[in-house]
Amino acid sequence: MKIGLATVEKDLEKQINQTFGRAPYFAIYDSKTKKVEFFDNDARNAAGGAGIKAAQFLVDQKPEAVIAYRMGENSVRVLVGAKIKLFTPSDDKNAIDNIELLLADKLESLVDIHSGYHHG
Amino acid sequence: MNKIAVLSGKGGSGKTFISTNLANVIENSTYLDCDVEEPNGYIFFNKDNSALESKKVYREIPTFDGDKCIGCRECVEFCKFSALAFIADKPLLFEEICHSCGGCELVCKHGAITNKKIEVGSLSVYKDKSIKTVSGQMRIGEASAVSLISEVLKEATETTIVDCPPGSACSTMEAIKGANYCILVTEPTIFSLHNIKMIVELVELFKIPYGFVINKSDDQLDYIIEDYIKSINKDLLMKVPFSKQIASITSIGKLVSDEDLESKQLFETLKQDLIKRAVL
Repeated sequence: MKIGLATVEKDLEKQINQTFGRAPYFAIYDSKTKKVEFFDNDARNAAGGAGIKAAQFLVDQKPEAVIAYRMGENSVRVLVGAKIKLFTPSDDKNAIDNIELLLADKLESLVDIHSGYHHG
Repeated sequence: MNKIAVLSGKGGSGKTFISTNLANVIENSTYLDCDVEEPNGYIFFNKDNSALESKKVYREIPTFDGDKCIGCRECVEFCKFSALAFIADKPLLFEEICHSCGGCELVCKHGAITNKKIEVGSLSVYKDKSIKTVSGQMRIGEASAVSLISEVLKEATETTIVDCPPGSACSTMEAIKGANYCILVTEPTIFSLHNIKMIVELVELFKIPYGFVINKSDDQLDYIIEDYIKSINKDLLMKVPFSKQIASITSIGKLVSDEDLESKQLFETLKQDLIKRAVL
Protein backbone atom coordinates (compact mmCIF):
# COMPACT_ATOMS: atom_id res chain seq x y z
CA MET A 1 0.00 0.00 0.00
CA LYS A 2 1.27 3.45 -0.94
CA ILE A 3 0.64 6.29 1.49
CA GLY A 4 1.04 9.99 0.77
CA LEU A 5 1.68 12.76 3.27
CA ALA A 6 2.95 16.32 3.57
CA THR A 7 6.07 16.59 5.71
CA VAL A 8 7.95 19.32 7.53
CA GLU A 9 11.30 17.89 6.44
CA LYS A 10 12.56 15.11 4.20
CA ASP A 11 12.54 12.81 7.21
CA LEU A 12 9.75 10.52 8.40
CA GLU A 13 11.03 10.78 11.99
CA LYS A 14 9.81 14.40 11.86
CA GLN A 15 6.21 15.64 11.98
CA ILE A 16 3.55 15.68 9.31
CA ASN A 17 3.10 19.26 8.06
CA GLN A 18 0.14 21.12 9.61
CA THR A 19 -1.10 22.33 6.23
CA PHE A 20 -1.40 20.48 2.94
CA GLY A 21 -1.37 22.51 -0.29
CA ARG A 22 1.55 24.75 0.63
CA ALA A 23 3.55 22.20 2.62
CA PRO A 24 7.31 22.15 1.88
CA TYR A 25 7.56 18.44 1.01
CA PHE A 26 5.51 15.41 0.12
CA ALA A 27 6.44 11.84 1.00
CA ILE A 28 5.23 8.67 -0.67
CA TYR A 29 5.74 5.62 1.52
CA ASP A 30 5.37 2.09 0.14
CA SER A 31 4.51 -0.42 2.87
CA LYS A 32 5.48 -3.36 0.66
CA THR A 33 9.06 -2.23 0.10
CA LYS A 34 9.17 -0.06 3.25
CA LYS A 35 10.77 2.62 1.10
CA VAL A 36 10.00 6.32 1.10
CA GLU A 37 10.42 8.90 -1.61
CA PHE A 38 10.42 12.66 -0.89
CA PHE A 39 9.42 15.41 -3.30
CA ASP A 40 9.66 19.21 -3.14
CA ASN A 41 6.15 20.63 -3.32
CA ASP A 42 6.17 22.83 -6.42
CA ALA A 43 2.59 23.94 -5.72
CA ARG A 44 3.72 25.73 -2.58
CA ASN A 45 4.48 28.99 -4.41
CA ALA A 46 1.48 28.92 -6.76
CA ALA A 47 -0.44 32.21 -6.86
CA GLY A 48 -3.71 30.36 -6.59
CA GLY A 49 -5.02 26.82 -6.71
CA ALA A 50 -2.10 25.44 -4.66
CA GLY A 51 -4.32 22.79 -3.09
CA ILE A 52 -5.48 21.51 -6.47
CA LYS A 53 -1.95 21.40 -7.86
CA ALA A 54 -0.59 19.67 -4.77
CA ALA A 55 -3.42 17.13 -4.75
CA GLN A 56 -2.87 16.48 -8.45
CA PHE A 57 0.78 15.73 -7.77
CA LEU A 58 -0.16 13.21 -5.10
CA VAL A 59 -2.85 11.62 -7.29
CA ASP A 60 -0.22 11.03 -9.96
CA GLN A 61 1.91 9.10 -7.44
CA LYS A 62 -1.10 6.77 -7.05
CA PRO A 63 -1.26 6.36 -3.28
CA GLU A 64 -4.23 4.54 -1.75
CA ALA A 65 -4.32 6.80 1.31
CA VAL A 66 -3.24 10.29 2.35
CA ILE A 67 -2.67 11.40 5.95
CA ALA A 68 -3.22 15.11 6.66
CA TYR A 69 -4.13 17.28 9.66
CA ARG A 70 -6.42 19.47 7.57
CA MET A 71 -7.10 20.08 3.93
CA GLY A 72 -8.88 22.60 1.71
CA GLU A 73 -12.08 21.48 0.02
CA ASN A 74 -10.53 21.67 -3.46
CA SER A 75 -7.70 19.31 -2.50
CA VAL A 76 -10.28 16.97 -1.02
CA ARG A 77 -12.30 17.03 -4.24
CA VAL A 78 -9.27 16.03 -6.30
CA LEU A 79 -8.11 13.27 -3.93
CA VAL A 80 -11.56 11.84 -3.29
CA GLY A 81 -12.26 12.03 -7.03
CA ALA A 82 -9.25 9.78 -7.50
CA LYS A 83 -10.69 7.43 -4.85
CA ILE A 84 -7.89 8.10 -2.36
CA LYS A 85 -8.83 7.65 1.31
CA LEU A 86 -8.04 10.51 3.69
CA PHE A 87 -6.98 10.11 7.33
CA THR A 88 -6.27 12.35 10.33
CA PRO A 89 -2.91 11.77 12.05
CA SER A 90 -2.46 11.25 15.75
CA ASP A 91 -1.24 14.57 17.16
CA ASP A 92 1.70 13.48 19.30
CA LYS A 93 3.19 11.08 16.76
CA ASN A 94 5.73 11.70 14.03
CA ALA A 95 5.21 10.80 10.37
CA ILE A 96 6.47 7.21 10.43
CA ASP A 97 4.50 6.37 13.60
CA ASN A 98 1.37 7.72 11.96
CA ILE A 99 2.03 5.52 8.95
CA GLU A 100 2.30 2.53 11.28
CA LEU A 101 -0.98 3.54 12.95
CA LEU A 102 -2.68 3.76 9.57
CA LEU A 103 -1.39 0.32 8.55
CA ALA A 104 -2.74 -1.01 11.86
CA ASP A 105 -6.11 0.53 10.96
CA LYS A 106 -5.94 2.91 13.92
CA LEU A 107 -6.41 6.31 12.27
CA GLU A 108 -9.70 8.18 11.95
CA SER A 109 -10.96 9.64 8.66
CA LEU A 110 -10.06 13.28 7.87
CA VAL A 111 -12.62 15.69 9.31
CA ASP A 112 -10.89 19.07 9.25
CA ILE A 113 -11.85 20.27 5.78
CA HIS A 114 -11.78 24.04 5.33
CA SER A 115 -12.87 26.31 2.51
CA GLY A 116 -9.31 27.42 1.81
CA TYR A 117 -7.12 30.28 3.00
CA HIS A 118 -7.73 32.44 -0.06
CA HIS A 119 -7.79 36.16 -0.25
CA GLY A 120 -8.16 38.75 -2.96
CA MET B 1 -14.47 60.97 -21.85
CA ASN B 2 -13.83 61.47 -18.13
CA LYS B 3 -13.89 58.54 -15.77
CA ILE B 4 -13.14 59.08 -12.10
CA ALA B 5 -12.67 56.01 -9.90
CA VAL B 6 -13.36 56.22 -6.18
CA LEU B 7 -11.37 53.71 -4.13
CA SER B 8 -10.47 52.87 -0.57
CA GLY B 9 -8.28 50.31 1.09
CA LYS B 10 -11.01 49.12 3.40
CA GLY B 11 -14.76 48.72 3.34
CA GLY B 12 -16.81 51.37 5.14
CA SER B 13 -14.42 54.25 4.40
CA GLY B 14 -17.03 56.11 2.38
CA LYS B 15 -16.54 55.21 -1.30
CA THR B 16 -20.25 55.12 -1.97
CA PHE B 17 -20.83 58.27 0.09
CA ILE B 18 -18.21 60.21 -1.89
CA SER B 19 -19.08 58.82 -5.31
CA THR B 20 -22.87 59.22 -5.07
CA ASN B 21 -22.63 62.79 -3.78
CA LEU B 22 -20.00 63.72 -6.35
CA ALA B 23 -22.11 62.28 -9.18
CA ASN B 24 -25.09 64.16 -7.75
CA VAL B 25 -23.47 67.58 -8.20
CA ILE B 26 -22.41 66.85 -11.79
CA GLU B 27 -25.15 67.26 -14.35
CA ASN B 28 -25.71 64.37 -16.75
CA SER B 29 -23.16 62.18 -15.02
CA THR B 30 -23.18 58.40 -14.82
CA TYR B 31 -22.68 56.59 -11.54
CA LEU B 32 -21.37 53.02 -11.93
CA ASP B 33 -21.59 50.84 -8.85
CA CYS B 34 -18.78 48.30 -9.29
CA ASP B 35 -18.92 47.20 -5.67
CA VAL B 36 -20.87 44.26 -7.03
CA GLU B 37 -20.66 42.09 -3.92
CA GLU B 38 -22.78 44.58 -2.05
CA PRO B 39 -24.00 47.35 -4.33
CA ASN B 40 -26.03 49.97 -2.51
CA GLY B 41 -25.35 53.21 -4.37
CA TYR B 42 -28.60 52.90 -6.34
CA ILE B 43 -30.55 53.45 -3.12
CA PHE B 44 -29.50 57.10 -3.13
CA PHE B 45 -30.66 57.82 -6.67
CA ASN B 46 -33.49 55.47 -7.31
CA LYS B 47 -36.45 56.80 -5.43
CA ASP B 48 -39.10 54.42 -6.74
CA ASN B 49 -36.79 51.39 -6.81
CA SER B 50 -37.53 50.45 -10.40
CA ALA B 51 -34.83 49.74 -12.93
CA LEU B 52 -35.18 50.98 -16.51
CA GLU B 53 -33.62 47.75 -17.63
CA SER B 54 -32.05 44.70 -16.05
CA LYS B 55 -30.07 41.93 -17.66
CA LYS B 56 -28.13 38.87 -16.66
CA VAL B 57 -24.37 38.77 -17.17
CA TYR B 58 -22.53 35.57 -18.06
CA ARG B 59 -19.01 34.28 -18.28
CA GLU B 60 -17.72 31.26 -20.14
CA ILE B 61 -16.19 28.16 -18.62
CA PRO B 62 -14.85 25.05 -20.40
CA THR B 63 -16.67 21.75 -20.73
CA PHE B 64 -14.95 18.55 -21.81
CA ASP B 65 -15.90 15.95 -24.36
CA GLY B 66 -14.82 12.62 -22.86
CA ASP B 67 -14.79 10.90 -26.27
CA LYS B 68 -12.40 13.43 -27.82
CA CYS B 69 -10.13 13.91 -24.77
CA ILE B 70 -7.02 11.74 -25.06
CA GLY B 71 -5.73 12.67 -21.62
CA CYS B 72 -2.68 14.65 -22.81
CA ARG B 73 -3.17 17.18 -19.98
CA GLU B 74 -2.14 20.14 -22.16
CA CYS B 75 -5.07 22.09 -20.72
CA VAL B 76 -4.22 21.19 -17.11
CA GLU B 77 -0.59 22.21 -17.56
CA PHE B 78 -1.60 25.43 -19.30
CA CYS B 79 -3.94 26.72 -16.60
CA LYS B 80 -1.83 28.98 -14.43
CA PHE B 81 -4.66 29.36 -11.94
CA SER B 82 -4.69 25.57 -11.37
CA ALA B 83 -8.40 25.54 -12.08
CA LEU B 84 -8.04 22.16 -13.78
CA ALA B 85 -7.07 18.80 -12.36
CA PHE B 86 -6.84 15.48 -14.17
CA ILE B 87 -8.38 12.63 -12.23
CA ALA B 88 -10.14 9.39 -13.08
CA ASP B 89 -8.95 9.81 -16.69
CA LYS B 90 -10.67 13.12 -17.31
CA PRO B 91 -10.16 16.84 -16.65
CA LEU B 92 -11.96 18.23 -13.62
CA LEU B 93 -12.81 21.94 -13.58
CA PHE B 94 -12.95 24.11 -10.46
CA GLU B 95 -15.45 26.71 -11.66
CA GLU B 96 -14.77 29.24 -8.93
CA ILE B 97 -11.04 29.27 -9.71
CA CYS B 98 -11.47 29.45 -13.50
CA HIS B 99 -10.80 32.99 -14.78
CA SER B 100 -12.66 32.37 -18.07
CA CYS B 101 -9.54 33.15 -20.09
CA GLY B 102 -10.35 30.55 -22.76
CA GLY B 103 -6.73 29.37 -22.88
CA CYS B 104 -7.51 25.69 -22.27
CA GLU B 105 -9.76 25.63 -25.32
CA LEU B 106 -6.98 27.18 -27.44
CA VAL B 107 -4.30 24.69 -26.37
CA CYS B 108 -6.50 21.59 -26.84
CA LYS B 109 -5.40 19.98 -30.13
CA HIS B 110 -8.23 17.47 -30.06
CA GLY B 111 -11.25 19.75 -30.02
CA ALA B 112 -12.35 18.24 -26.72
CA ILE B 113 -13.09 21.58 -25.07
CA THR B 114 -16.09 23.80 -25.74
CA ASN B 115 -17.39 26.67 -23.66
CA LYS B 116 -20.60 27.04 -21.76
CA LYS B 117 -22.07 30.15 -20.19
CA ILE B 118 -22.62 30.48 -16.48
CA GLU B 119 -24.39 33.38 -14.79
CA VAL B 120 -22.09 35.80 -12.94
CA GLY B 121 -24.79 38.21 -11.82
CA SER B 122 -27.00 40.94 -13.13
CA LEU B 123 -26.75 44.53 -14.24
CA SER B 124 -29.46 47.13 -13.67
CA VAL B 125 -29.81 50.64 -15.10
CA TYR B 126 -31.70 53.38 -13.27
CA LYS B 127 -32.36 57.01 -14.12
CA ASP B 128 -32.99 59.68 -11.53
CA LYS B 129 -32.96 63.39 -12.32
CA SER B 130 -30.16 63.73 -14.87
CA ILE B 131 -28.03 60.95 -13.40
CA LYS B 132 -27.73 57.51 -14.92
CA THR B 133 -27.07 54.81 -12.34
CA VAL B 134 -25.76 51.38 -13.25
CA SER B 135 -25.49 48.72 -10.63
CA GLY B 136 -23.88 45.30 -10.88
CA GLN B 137 -25.08 42.58 -8.53
CA MET B 138 -23.04 39.42 -8.24
CA ARG B 139 -24.78 36.04 -8.10
CA ILE B 140 -24.53 34.47 -4.66
CA GLY B 141 -21.90 31.75 -4.82
CA GLU B 142 -19.97 33.32 -7.70
CA ALA B 143 -16.32 33.90 -6.76
CA SER B 144 -15.02 36.33 -9.37
CA ALA B 145 -16.47 39.79 -9.93
CA VAL B 146 -14.18 40.70 -12.83
CA SER B 147 -16.40 39.83 -15.79
CA LEU B 148 -19.41 41.53 -14.22
CA ILE B 149 -17.45 44.71 -13.47
CA SER B 150 -16.16 44.76 -17.02
CA GLU B 151 -19.77 44.66 -18.22
CA VAL B 152 -20.83 47.49 -15.87
CA LEU B 153 -17.93 49.65 -17.14
CA LYS B 154 -19.31 49.42 -20.69
CA GLU B 155 -22.16 51.68 -19.51
CA ALA B 156 -19.79 54.63 -19.02
CA THR B 157 -20.76 57.95 -20.63
CA GLU B 158 -19.02 61.30 -21.13
CA THR B 159 -18.69 61.86 -17.37
CA THR B 160 -18.58 58.79 -15.19
CA ILE B 161 -17.97 58.18 -11.49
CA VAL B 162 -16.93 54.60 -10.68
CA ASP B 163 -17.67 53.32 -7.17
CA CYS B 164 -14.99 50.61 -6.80
CA PRO B 165 -14.93 47.46 -4.69
CA PRO B 166 -12.91 47.78 -1.46
CA GLY B 167 -9.30 46.62 -1.30
CA SER B 168 -6.74 46.21 -4.06
CA ALA B 169 -7.52 42.79 -5.51
CA CYS B 170 -8.46 41.76 -9.08
CA SER B 171 -11.95 43.26 -8.93
CA THR B 172 -10.56 46.68 -7.96
CA MET B 173 -7.97 46.51 -10.73
CA GLU B 174 -10.75 45.83 -13.21
CA ALA B 175 -12.85 48.72 -11.89
CA ILE B 176 -10.10 51.35 -12.31
CA LYS B 177 -9.29 50.32 -15.88
CA GLY B 178 -9.61 53.32 -18.16
CA ALA B 179 -10.01 55.80 -15.30
CA ASN B 180 -8.27 59.15 -15.82
CA TYR B 181 -8.26 60.04 -12.12
CA CYS B 182 -8.61 58.20 -8.82
CA ILE B 183 -10.03 59.54 -5.57
CA LEU B 184 -8.62 57.62 -2.59
CA VAL B 185 -11.02 57.70 0.35
CA THR B 186 -9.45 57.35 3.79
CA GLU B 187 -10.34 57.66 7.46
CA PRO B 188 -7.93 59.14 10.00
CA THR B 189 -7.00 55.76 11.49
CA ILE B 190 -3.85 53.62 11.44
CA PHE B 191 -5.87 50.82 9.82
CA SER B 192 -7.02 53.06 6.99
CA LEU B 193 -3.46 54.38 6.51
CA HIS B 194 -2.11 50.85 6.23
CA ASN B 195 -4.69 49.88 3.62
CA ILE B 196 -4.51 53.06 1.57
CA LYS B 197 -0.79 52.48 1.04
CA MET B 198 -1.70 49.33 -0.87
CA ILE B 199 -4.14 51.33 -3.00
CA VAL B 200 -1.40 53.88 -3.73
CA GLU B 201 0.83 51.04 -4.94
CA LEU B 202 -1.99 49.88 -7.21
CA VAL B 203 -2.79 53.24 -8.81
CA GLU B 204 0.93 53.99 -9.22
CA LEU B 205 1.23 50.70 -11.07
CA PHE B 206 -1.61 51.75 -13.39
CA LYS B 207 -0.02 55.24 -13.71
CA ILE B 208 -3.33 56.97 -12.95
CA PRO B 209 -3.12 60.39 -11.22
CA TYR B 210 -4.81 60.49 -7.82
CA GLY B 211 -5.69 62.55 -4.77
CA PHE B 212 -7.02 61.87 -1.29
CA VAL B 213 -10.18 62.47 0.69
CA ILE B 214 -10.29 62.19 4.46
CA ASN B 215 -13.75 61.06 5.49
CA LYS B 216 -14.92 61.20 9.13
CA SER B 217 -12.25 63.85 9.62
CA ASP B 218 -11.05 64.58 13.16
CA ASP B 219 -8.71 67.53 13.93
CA GLN B 220 -6.81 65.48 16.48
CA LEU B 221 -6.27 62.49 14.18
CA ASP B 222 -6.12 63.77 10.59
CA TYR B 223 -2.31 64.02 10.84
CA ILE B 224 -2.20 60.20 10.46
CA ILE B 225 -3.26 60.55 6.84
CA GLU B 226 -2.04 64.12 6.20
CA ASP B 227 1.57 63.34 7.15
CA TYR B 228 1.54 60.42 4.75
CA ILE B 229 0.04 62.46 1.89
CA LYS B 230 2.73 65.13 2.40
CA SER B 231 5.45 62.50 2.51
CA ILE B 232 4.54 61.23 -0.95
CA ASN B 233 3.93 64.73 -2.31
CA LYS B 234 0.29 64.29 -3.23
CA ASP B 235 -2.83 66.41 -2.69
CA LEU B 236 -5.60 66.25 -0.16
CA LEU B 237 -8.75 67.07 -2.13
CA MET B 238 -11.31 67.27 0.63
CA LYS B 239 -12.10 66.59 4.27
CA VAL B 240 -15.57 65.46 5.27
CA PRO B 241 -16.33 66.15 8.93
CA PHE B 242 -17.32 63.30 11.26
CA SER B 243 -20.84 64.56 11.82
CA LYS B 244 -24.08 63.12 13.11
CA GLN B 245 -26.02 65.25 10.62
CA ILE B 246 -24.24 63.61 7.66
CA ALA B 247 -24.68 60.13 9.10
CA SER B 248 -28.40 60.71 9.75
CA ILE B 249 -29.11 61.92 6.23
CA THR B 250 -27.14 59.07 4.66
CA SER B 251 -28.77 56.44 6.87
CA ILE B 252 -32.22 57.22 5.46
CA GLY B 253 -31.02 56.85 1.88
CA LYS B 254 -30.67 60.55 1.09
CA LEU B 255 -27.78 62.50 -0.37
CA VAL B 256 -26.10 65.14 1.80
CA SER B 257 -25.46 67.17 -1.35
CA ASP B 258 -29.26 67.54 -1.62
CA GLU B 259 -30.15 67.87 2.03
CA ASP B 260 -27.33 69.77 3.70
CA LEU B 261 -26.04 73.10 2.41
CA GLU B 262 -22.56 72.82 3.93
CA SER B 263 -22.09 69.35 2.46
CA LYS B 264 -23.36 70.49 -0.91
CA GLN B 265 -20.70 73.22 -0.83
CA LEU B 266 -18.03 70.62 -0.03
CA PHE B 267 -18.91 68.53 -3.05
CA GLU B 268 -19.25 71.58 -5.31
CA THR B 269 -15.73 72.56 -4.26
CA LEU B 270 -14.47 69.05 -4.99
CA LYS B 271 -16.08 69.22 -8.42
CA GLN B 272 -14.44 72.60 -9.17
CA ASP B 273 -11.10 71.20 -8.00
CA LEU B 274 -11.43 68.23 -10.37
CA ILE B 275 -12.37 70.56 -13.23
CA LYS B 276 -9.21 72.61 -12.51
CA ARG B 277 -7.21 69.41 -12.65
CA ALA B 278 -8.74 68.85 -16.09
CA VAL B 279 -10.07 65.44 -15.13
CA LEU B 280 -13.72 66.47 -15.18
